[in-house]
Amino acid sequence: MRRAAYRSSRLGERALTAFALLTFAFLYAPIAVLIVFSFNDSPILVFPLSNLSFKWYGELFSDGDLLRSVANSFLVAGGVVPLTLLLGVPLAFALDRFSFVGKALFERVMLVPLIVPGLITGLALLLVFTQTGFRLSLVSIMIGHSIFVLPIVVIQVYARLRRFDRSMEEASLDLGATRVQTFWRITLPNIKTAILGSALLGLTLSFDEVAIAFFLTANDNTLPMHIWSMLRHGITPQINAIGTITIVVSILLIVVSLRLLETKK
Amino acid sequence: MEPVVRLNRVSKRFRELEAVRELTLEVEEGEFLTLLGPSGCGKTTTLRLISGFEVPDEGEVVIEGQVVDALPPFRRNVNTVFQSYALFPHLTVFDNVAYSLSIRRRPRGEIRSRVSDMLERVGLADKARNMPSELSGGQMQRVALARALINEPRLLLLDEPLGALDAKLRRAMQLELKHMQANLGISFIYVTHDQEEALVMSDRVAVMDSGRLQQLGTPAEIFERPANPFVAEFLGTANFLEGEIEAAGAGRCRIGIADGITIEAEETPSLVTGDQVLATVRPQKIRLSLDDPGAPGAANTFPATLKEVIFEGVLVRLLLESAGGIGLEAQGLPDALPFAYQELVPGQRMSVHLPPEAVLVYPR
Amino acid sequence: MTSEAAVSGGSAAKALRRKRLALFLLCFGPPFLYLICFMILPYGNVFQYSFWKKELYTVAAEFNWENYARVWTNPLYRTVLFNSLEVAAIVTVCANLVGYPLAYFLAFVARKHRTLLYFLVIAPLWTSFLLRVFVWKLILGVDGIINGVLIYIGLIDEPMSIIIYNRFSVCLTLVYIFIPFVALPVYAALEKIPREYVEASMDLGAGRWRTFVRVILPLSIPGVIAGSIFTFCLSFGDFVTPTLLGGPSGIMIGNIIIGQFGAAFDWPFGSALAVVILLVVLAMIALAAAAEPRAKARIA
Repeated sequence: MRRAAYRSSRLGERALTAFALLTFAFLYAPIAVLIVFSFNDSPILVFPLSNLSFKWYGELFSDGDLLRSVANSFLVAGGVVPLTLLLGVPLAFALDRFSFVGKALFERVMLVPLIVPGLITGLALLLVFTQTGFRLSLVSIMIGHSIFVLPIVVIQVYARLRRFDRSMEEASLDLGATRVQTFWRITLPNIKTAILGSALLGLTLSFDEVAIAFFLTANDNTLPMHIWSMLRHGITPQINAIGTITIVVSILLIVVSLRLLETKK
Repeated sequence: MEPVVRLNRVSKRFRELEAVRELTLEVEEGEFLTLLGPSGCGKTTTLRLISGFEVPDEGEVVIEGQVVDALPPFRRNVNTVFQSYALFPHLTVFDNVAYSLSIRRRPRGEIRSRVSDMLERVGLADKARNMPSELSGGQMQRVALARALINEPRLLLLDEPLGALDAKLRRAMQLELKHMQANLGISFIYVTHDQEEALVMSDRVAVMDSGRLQQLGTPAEIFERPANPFVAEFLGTANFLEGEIEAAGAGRCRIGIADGITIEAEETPSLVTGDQVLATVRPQKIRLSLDDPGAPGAANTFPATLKEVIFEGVLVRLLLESAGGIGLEAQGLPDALPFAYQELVPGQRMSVHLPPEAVLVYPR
Repeated sequence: MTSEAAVSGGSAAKALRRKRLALFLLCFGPPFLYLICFMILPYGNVFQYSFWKKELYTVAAEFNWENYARVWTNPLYRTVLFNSLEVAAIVTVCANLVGYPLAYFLAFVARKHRTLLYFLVIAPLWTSFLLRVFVWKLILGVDGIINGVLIYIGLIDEPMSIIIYNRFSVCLTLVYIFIPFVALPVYAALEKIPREYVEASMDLGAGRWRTFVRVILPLSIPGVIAGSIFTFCLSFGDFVTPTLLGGPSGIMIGNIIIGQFGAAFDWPFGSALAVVILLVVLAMIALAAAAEPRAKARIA
């Protein structure tokens, strides 16, 4: 006997599909608006649009402050990624391989920065830095970002390690490889994509972050902080252009990292 | 000659669980030894103590005359075939088999020829470039074997290597493994919970339960003369009769079971009159006839009621109940029974005979 | 090697345990210390700071409750606090109303292109928060696309100003931001439901609606809880959205905080407000921790 498969009714299914399509439109139409406006010729944002133009993109490359902020963002993200990998991969390893008192509590507390609004993390670090006389710089932003990127790295690598069949490591030891050789030749290749994927995620997240950086920025703006200050002087078409580039690049990076983090079933 | 492996009063506990207790065991050169027992009996822990994944709390493990307790797995000249095969998913079949040679930095040419020879030997020469995920269960099994044998270890450890295969392939692989072991002339320690597998393949079988060695002997010894009720039951005895020794002497003893049934058996020297005992007899050894003796008559013969007939194709199993509610199971090949099993009717009376030489007696 | 091998079983086991302990400390120690220094201590320090007092250009380390008294007694701050809670609640409910059906669609209806659609749901989650908030200025603004279109087709003559710089625009934007935050964990929970459960329910005669209410919905509650916590906490403490789209009626607690750390320069008071947010976050976590076993118990 063929059992009834769970499918919504025809009508329900169509209604859901329509609803989902509308939601996707809702999620992506604003991004499309940003992209379209970035190619609009007119210096003020008025509908209907005037002619197609690349001039705002051209202006980006002559804006020294903007270029410097992009470079700063790369510096920050470039520090956050290795820092969180260096701390996060061994931490995931420790969580996977060892049991210790308070482990469950630690696993929960570690995730708190993901739920706490960024401004809290930012001001908390600001207070500590000023009290200890630590000068604000790109390094302070880097530390701020590492606090919420670290749990993301740990979650991803930990999840991959838990699925990894540990008898493969035993097989390697059994075949004469030392523990160090086993790590490099067996363990690492099997968690490599999780590490790369979370590194890319960390890169994009740090690159786009504004709330923590808001509190920890001294003189050197990151790109989102630069955009933030541009917004205070009103909307300019350059923002649309730089926003378009940022979002498109982010989405590409996200798709790559999701592919890497995906597990073959 | 020095045994390949010697375990000397080895104990291992995991928190509250005593996985292995004071185990002493020797494996000879070229021997096929099976560790047999139910899950949790300590057989896999024993294997891991030899391979070096566990370190004993007490006692010592000696491989080829050297105490290896402080040696990590990669310094022991012993290889393992894992239950899950543990093939490296990111390496090809060739690279899996070549792994230990490449770790030892052997020259490329040597690696190529040795790996090719080995793959040829296990019949996978054409799969060298495949990834493990592209292989069938039986093929993965062979790769795991080839990978473990490439270093020509003097001892190979196998942890339920056939567990994941279907029944037919399993039987074929049993013989193949046994032949391979005989040809290579190396020692195998083989872990399984399947008693039939143990009997088919082994030179000697070590039966384990609750971390202890219950019996060590050839397949025939452990099957025919189980050392205790556990071994008897694990190797397929279904009939256990509780009783008391009424008389013993001259190589015989008489055991009283409920309701006037008495059984004669060979004498067990340590047991004397008045001892509480457990008499066992294998289902295949019970003899049945259709004439109802009415009451317990000659020694070892008594009436019983047929409860159920179970036809299993090759075998027929008969479930019986005798006076005092004692349940018995008898088995036979359909053609070897002294009657046509098709004509049996549940509820009918039969005569049961337990041959004295088939009855084994244990203290209770 | 001989001397090493001569060690008896017991001490070899001890040596191995020592090695494992060393490895553990090496792996766990540095990140643990790092988190203590840059996460636990700073969060804790905010509590301490919130009891201090602002003086003219400095901060005095004198314990007092004044900052908290101010949050509660000053009608401005109290209004903003309740406004923020309301906004967070509205956003959480609306994001669930949109995000749940979306997740359901992905898990049970979408068959073709499911991976692609899944990517489309979570990609926004990781892309620039600031820019996705900013876009709504382009859409809702006086010169924005909605007003532009409506004027262009002649429905209105003057641009409407009621759709921006108020609580509506803040809520709309936050719902937009947080739909993926709800859809993702709900989808994860729905996908984990064994299809046999659902089929068994249908097999036992439950209709589609009853199967949904009695089987699917309870099993997806952990996902709903997780998504709701993220949404509530992060929207409650956001300052980017109310700054860009809030206007006078859309001010939230985050605005007040950045004011205290900026122009007002009253860090202890800002810290007290931050503690309020932290307490709300902790309360949500505690609530979820209490609700989750109950949800699980109901399933079992």
